[in-house]
Amino acid sequence: MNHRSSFSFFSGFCLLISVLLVSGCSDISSTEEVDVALNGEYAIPLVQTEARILEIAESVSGNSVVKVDPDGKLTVFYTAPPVQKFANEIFESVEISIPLFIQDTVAPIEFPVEVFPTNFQLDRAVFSDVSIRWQFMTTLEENVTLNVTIPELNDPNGVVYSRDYVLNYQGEAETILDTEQESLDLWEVIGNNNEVFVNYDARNEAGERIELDRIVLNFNRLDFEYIEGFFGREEEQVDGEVITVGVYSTWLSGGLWFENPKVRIEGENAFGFPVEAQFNSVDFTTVDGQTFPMTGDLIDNGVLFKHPTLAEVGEVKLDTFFFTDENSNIQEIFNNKVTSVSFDIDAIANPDDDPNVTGFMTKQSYYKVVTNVELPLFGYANDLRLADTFDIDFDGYDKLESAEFKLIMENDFPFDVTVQGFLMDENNNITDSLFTEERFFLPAADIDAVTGIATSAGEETAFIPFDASRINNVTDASKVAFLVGLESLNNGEVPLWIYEDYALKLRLGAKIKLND
Amino acid sequence: MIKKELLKSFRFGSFVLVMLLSICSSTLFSQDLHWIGLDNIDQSNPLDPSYVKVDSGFTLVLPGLSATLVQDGPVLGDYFKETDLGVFKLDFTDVINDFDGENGLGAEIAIPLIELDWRKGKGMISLSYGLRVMSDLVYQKDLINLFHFGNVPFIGETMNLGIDASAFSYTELALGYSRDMGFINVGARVKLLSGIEDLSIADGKLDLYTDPDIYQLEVDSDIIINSSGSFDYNGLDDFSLDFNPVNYFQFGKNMGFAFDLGISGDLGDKFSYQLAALDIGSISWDGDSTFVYTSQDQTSFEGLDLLDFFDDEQDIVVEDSLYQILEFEKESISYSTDLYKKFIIGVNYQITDAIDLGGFYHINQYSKSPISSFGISSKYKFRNQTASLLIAAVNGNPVVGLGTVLNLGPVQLIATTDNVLGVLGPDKVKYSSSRVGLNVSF
Repeated sequence: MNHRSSFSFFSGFCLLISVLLVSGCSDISSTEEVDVALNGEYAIPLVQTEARILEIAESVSGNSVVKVDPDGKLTVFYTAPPVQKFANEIFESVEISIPLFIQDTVAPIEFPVEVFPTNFQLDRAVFSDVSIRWQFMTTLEENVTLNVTIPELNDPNGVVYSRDYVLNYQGEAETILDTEQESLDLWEVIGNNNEVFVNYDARNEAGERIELDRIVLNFNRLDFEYIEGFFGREEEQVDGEVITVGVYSTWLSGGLWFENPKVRIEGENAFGFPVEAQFNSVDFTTVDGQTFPMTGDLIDNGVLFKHPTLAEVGEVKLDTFFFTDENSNIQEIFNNKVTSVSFDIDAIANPDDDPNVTGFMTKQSYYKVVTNVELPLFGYANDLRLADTFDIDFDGYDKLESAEFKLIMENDFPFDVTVQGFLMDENNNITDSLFTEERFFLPAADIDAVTGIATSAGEETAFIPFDASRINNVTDASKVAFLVGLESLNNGEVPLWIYEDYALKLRLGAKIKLND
Repeated sequence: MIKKELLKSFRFGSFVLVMLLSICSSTLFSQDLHWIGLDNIDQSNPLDPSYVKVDSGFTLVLPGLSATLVQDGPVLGDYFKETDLGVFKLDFTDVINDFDGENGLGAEIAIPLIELDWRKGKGMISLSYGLRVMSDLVYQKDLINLFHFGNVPFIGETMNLGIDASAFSYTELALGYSRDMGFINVGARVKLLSGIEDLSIADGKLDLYTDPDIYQLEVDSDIIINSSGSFDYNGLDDFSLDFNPVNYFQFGKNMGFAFDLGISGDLGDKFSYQLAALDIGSISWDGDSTFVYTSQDQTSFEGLDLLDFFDDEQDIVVEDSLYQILEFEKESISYSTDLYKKFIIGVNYQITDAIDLGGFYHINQYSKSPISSFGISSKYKFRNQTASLLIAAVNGNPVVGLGTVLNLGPVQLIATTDNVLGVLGPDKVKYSSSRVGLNVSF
């Protein structure tokens, strides 16, 4: 092996090359942090919304529903929570813990009429989940045979209740027989002046009829699947409900006029007797806090809801009543900018208290009352100003150097729209506005003079710049207050329908300049 | 509104760090054009599988390092600007007009950890183990434009943001045999590979169109990302790139196979030649964390529909939707990666006993951006030391390199660089490749 051993200037030069190679790392090798923050100008879309009244209503939870008629015209329904009561809430089942002592061989048992009106008269009823058991006792020192019959009680096949028992003497002073619990579910009981009779026939070993020393009848509960008879007159307070009318929730000034607003009362009745709604009061509250009572024939007379007949057991009868400008003062008071409607209603069963009216109720019977404010979107806006404030939070947008928003709006509606937005700090001081010189003006759609239908949308495009001197007014803002003005055609005096396909199209993009 | 998270950073920082690691190491080692025809070394020549060392006996090759960095367009040092000690900023202001339509950035690191060579008679056996890291990135100028200018200057135009990228590392256990057959030397190395980490994007198409209307964004993507252990994507706002290529002692998973072939010989007394094909093979990535992400879709973001927020307490945040504009399907699928093949032709002419003059042609087939190099080199031998000078063109970029084989008794130090300027600032040049090695013969 030929080991080299000499070292020279040349060798030193070569070593220098080697050292340079080893030590010549770039400064980049000491990198601890790399800033790759964007600092260009970026264009992004922000909002693209095509809002129709119907879609807005569907996307917002609340008490409003929009319906479309066959012509595409819209009507808004503001609905109060429905009032609904079932039979078991009105006539509760009776728990019977006290045993009934039968005092004679023919003994009456009173129907528990105390849960019904005073003049309730039972014709027939069907038990629901009811069971009985008997206890018999004799002091005779012999066997006793026994038959118990309840003539007013029939099984589902129409067979009268009859049972035979034997008391076997066991040498005790008392001979007692406790029967098994026996279900009477769906057995029918016939009213006999609101009583049923228990008959018993007891015999000793010689076949002679005797009286027992004690007969006790125990019910677990008393509940009915069906009751037929006269139920008497009964009044029930319907919990007062309030309909919130949101159309004026952001009202600031000006007028908004609707033609032919209505209050709709929808009733559902599955009880087999007449039910009347009596209106103690229907009050409209306006944006300025005033209250106006509604008046009219229906208020004075109430409304009588239909009911199923004895041949229509299980059916539900529907009825609808309207308060309109023809039977009330609603038109007059509604356009005072109503924000809510409150009701005080009594429901009256058998309002005429006629004992010849045989009615019924089943366990599933109920009544339901739904109250609506029905607002056909046919009207006009007259210098209407709406205002609303939203919280905004631009925390973390400190890299914004400037921004320019591009707003494009299209309007199918028959009114001009003006918009301004004010940026506010946390103390509600206005720091800037979206539109510096004048409000954004979005013209109304072109309207066919004959049909009143929009033919082409009004459209407007605006660029909203926030340069470096103003961008902090945006990023520091905590609220933005929007003022929106609406004005119908001809200075707001021509009522027009709002149609299903009318939309407000809003498109917003932004160019954002970032700093580094 | 865009929140600061979007403005703050893209998370390709990890990738940048890999590139920086390449730069750091590049003064120490590797495309190694200098090693073509290097004939007086006591160890195997990684660029010449047919090389047989002069002396019989054993040579222990100690850990070394080799690195190569190749750049198209502006170089890293032109836009990686130090703003504070150790803090760098990506700033393309000075070079934004210098980018080509398509730009490349390739890096390769080799860390030979241990090697034992044994020559007996005409044959030499080599057994070596080491670590290699490869990375290659081809990106479009529009990507830089988007970063630097934003998309505002390109409203109404389609920006080509597609990239091809490959970064992977593996350990390599190689067994080589070369033999001097008199008129010709032949040699081959077989390599058993074990992949450590991989991230590759093949033919990644990503077009972005900004509509002049309200700047609606339309994305047309056809991207397949292969990842083994380094990448996790759940959205543009929720992805991580954690490329940790170094694991010196991994073996047994993500296995692969490759080989090197070479011949060399003399034509007369003065003239010699060399042919080699290196890194012919591939790695199969089939570990637990191997995933393929696919995005082949045309999507758009046209702005938020406010109706979606009418009845909701949630904040109206645009970036949530922006981030969804590029979505991937994630599947656990095995795949394979080809190594970067290299092909070499070299000739050498002995002018005097002390001076050789050679020429060469070298192709390094990075995943997407092949690098071709040609040039001449001269070796000057003085006593038993060697110094070499290289003049070459690498992808058309002229470079001047220096090298030495320094014999210090039984110890031999080999140090080469293909570009002297790269020694002073590898991030400032388009090509830098250096290698340092040390061996002990006995």
